[in-house]
Amino acid sequence: MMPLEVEGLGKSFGEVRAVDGVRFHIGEGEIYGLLGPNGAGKTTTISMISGLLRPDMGKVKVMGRDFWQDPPASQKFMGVVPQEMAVYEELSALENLVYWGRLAGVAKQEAKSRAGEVLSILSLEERGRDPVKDYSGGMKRRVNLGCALMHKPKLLLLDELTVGIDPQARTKLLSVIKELAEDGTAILYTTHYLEEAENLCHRMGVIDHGRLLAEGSLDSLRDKVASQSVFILEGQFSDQDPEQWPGFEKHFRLVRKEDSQCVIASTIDRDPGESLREILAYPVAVSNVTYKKPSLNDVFLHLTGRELRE
Amino acid sequence: MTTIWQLLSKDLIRTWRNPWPVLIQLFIPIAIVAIMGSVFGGGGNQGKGMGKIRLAYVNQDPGPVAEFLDGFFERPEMTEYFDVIETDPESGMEMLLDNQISAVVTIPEGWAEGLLRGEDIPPMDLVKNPAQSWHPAIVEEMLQVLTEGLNALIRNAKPELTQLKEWIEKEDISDFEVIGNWLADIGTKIEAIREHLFPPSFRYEKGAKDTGEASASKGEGNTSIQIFAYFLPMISSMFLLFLADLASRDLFRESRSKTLQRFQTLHFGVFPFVVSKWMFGVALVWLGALMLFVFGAFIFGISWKHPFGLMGIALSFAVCASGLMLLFTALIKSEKRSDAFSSMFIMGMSLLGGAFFQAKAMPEWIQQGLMPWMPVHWYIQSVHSVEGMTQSGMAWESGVMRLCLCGLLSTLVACWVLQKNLSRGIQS
Repeated sequence: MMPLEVEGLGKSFGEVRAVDGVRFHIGEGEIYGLLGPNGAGKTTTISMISGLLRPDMGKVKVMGRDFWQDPPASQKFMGVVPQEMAVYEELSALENLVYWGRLAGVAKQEAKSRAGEVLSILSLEERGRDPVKDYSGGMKRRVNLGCALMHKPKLLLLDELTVGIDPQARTKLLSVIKELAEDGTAILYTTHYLEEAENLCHRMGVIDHGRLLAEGSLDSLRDKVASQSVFILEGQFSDQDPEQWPGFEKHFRLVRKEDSQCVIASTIDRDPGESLREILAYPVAVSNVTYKKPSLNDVFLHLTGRELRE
Repeated sequence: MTTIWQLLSKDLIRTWRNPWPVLIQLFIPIAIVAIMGSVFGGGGNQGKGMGKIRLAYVNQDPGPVAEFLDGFFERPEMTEYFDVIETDPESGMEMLLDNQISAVVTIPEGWAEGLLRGEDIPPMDLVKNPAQSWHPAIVEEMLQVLTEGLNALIRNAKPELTQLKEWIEKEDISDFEVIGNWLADIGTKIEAIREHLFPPSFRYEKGAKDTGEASASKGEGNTSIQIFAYFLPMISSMFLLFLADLASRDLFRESRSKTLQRFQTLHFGVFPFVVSKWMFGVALVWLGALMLFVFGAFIFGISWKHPFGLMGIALSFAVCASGLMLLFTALIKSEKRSDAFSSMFIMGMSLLGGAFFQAKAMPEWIQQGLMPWMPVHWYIQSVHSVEGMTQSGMAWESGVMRLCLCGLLSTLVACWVLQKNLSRGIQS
């Protein structure tokens, strides 16, 4: 049974279409990355899946069941980790875990023993009885994750889990996520960090302006822009408009322009050397040119026309 | 119910671990009442409320009738309330300027003779201490009552007084039988107006009957002015509303930190969450009110006559205040708007409810049109009623019922509004 199926999901706020026909699924033990810049519709999508917002159109199926026909029944299978630290700072990690576990339906005694297990998974046993307000950012993130694990959910929704924490804490959290997936938990993961998505996610979807622009494994997404080469030009571009260079729009697309740097992408499949010769013929003094193969970020640029962190 | 209890206990633990916001809200009304008490006449004086009123008495007419006034000031009914210092005009004014006394009362020369003649009585002179507000006013009222009493005496016993004047002027008093009869007559007439001559008992009884807002408590061995007992529920009602606001604003904090949203992703509606916040507010306000009453008793020497009645009224006010502030939070929708308007809302409701001024001091249109609808007014009236500080106000049972009904209705509407807002995705 598929832990999560999203079919043609849509939501508007007044005139603004926040999510428009989003469709994807997540299998057991799969980590699915939902990538998109701020305002792309990621959080709205997660909100509709977790039951915080009712969609205007489409369906969310959790464990094969239509979520909105019986939200409580579906929510029992879900663990949601918001981007913010949704924990009580005056309480200890242990108290937070027991509290959220009890609310999720775990019996009192079981909640206490499960909290011990979760603290162990998150490597927080030693500080488990300290108030959360005394924790570092990374430790708080771990508690934030732990609260969603108390009832052993089959589907985990993680919204920007690693924002604002140090690399060591991030590595720890990502290893926990991988272990959870290996145990069969389906995970929906949104992030700004493309390298995280590249390393962690089995499949991913690129969302922008509420639409899912592309979906698939990292390799299949790369294939979409494999024909494109990216050139980073260095020089003086403050009074230049690359789009006015003769023949530019036929073969290139402007990605980004700064005073001393200009990034352009080839729009046709041809030898990079040919493109380079054309670039050097443009009426501008270029001091250095760097040629780059497309990365996930380039995939993103290709699909959305902007960088993920914009 | 288990869910609500878990939610509530979490909030209580959080408050226990960070009690400062609550303690500050409780400290402020006690401090304000203490300051008001000092302004209106000093400390608690072991349950006597305002303490004795010190005044200087200057007698410039040393005749036999003026000596009667000396005796009047030395009577036990007077010494219970007044500390009268007989002095000369200069020393009296000096003491007044040093803020040692509340007023200087001067009996002018010829006063006794005028009184016995029943006409052309030179007026008594009263100089009030401008640095005090409450005690000098009482002295003034006491003199008004004394004047009324003496006027009554003149009207009722003018022939006897004229006779007395003649005897005094003759300096030969030998007809003791006539004098005996005269004394018996005058005694009977004085007895008839006796109560008018002792202002404390007269003044307070009159106040209660005429205005419904007595400033004294009577009976049960405590006939003193319980000014702190009177003001404490007034001032504290506003701060109890602020306490309820503190509890209901926790909804915004929970929304901001996304713990509310996390709760919603579990298999519950928003109803248990809102009810738990309401109960949290009730617990906080009730506890706060009880602490204020207990601190009031210890700090100001207030002896509450009906502590259980007060506990009930405080609980009903907690029910109402928590519900109202929750409804306000639900309707105002955002924390920023709440920051801007909650103080205005609370202070407005308190002002119109009589938390700052006595009901009778308010304009007629507020007294008649708005005040009867204010929960703060119901609370203050209920406390004053159960403590016997008012006879014409609302019965405390009626106040309690109104408060409970208002609180429960507000909570239900708040639940409905919040559920509606949250389903639309409105957050702090």
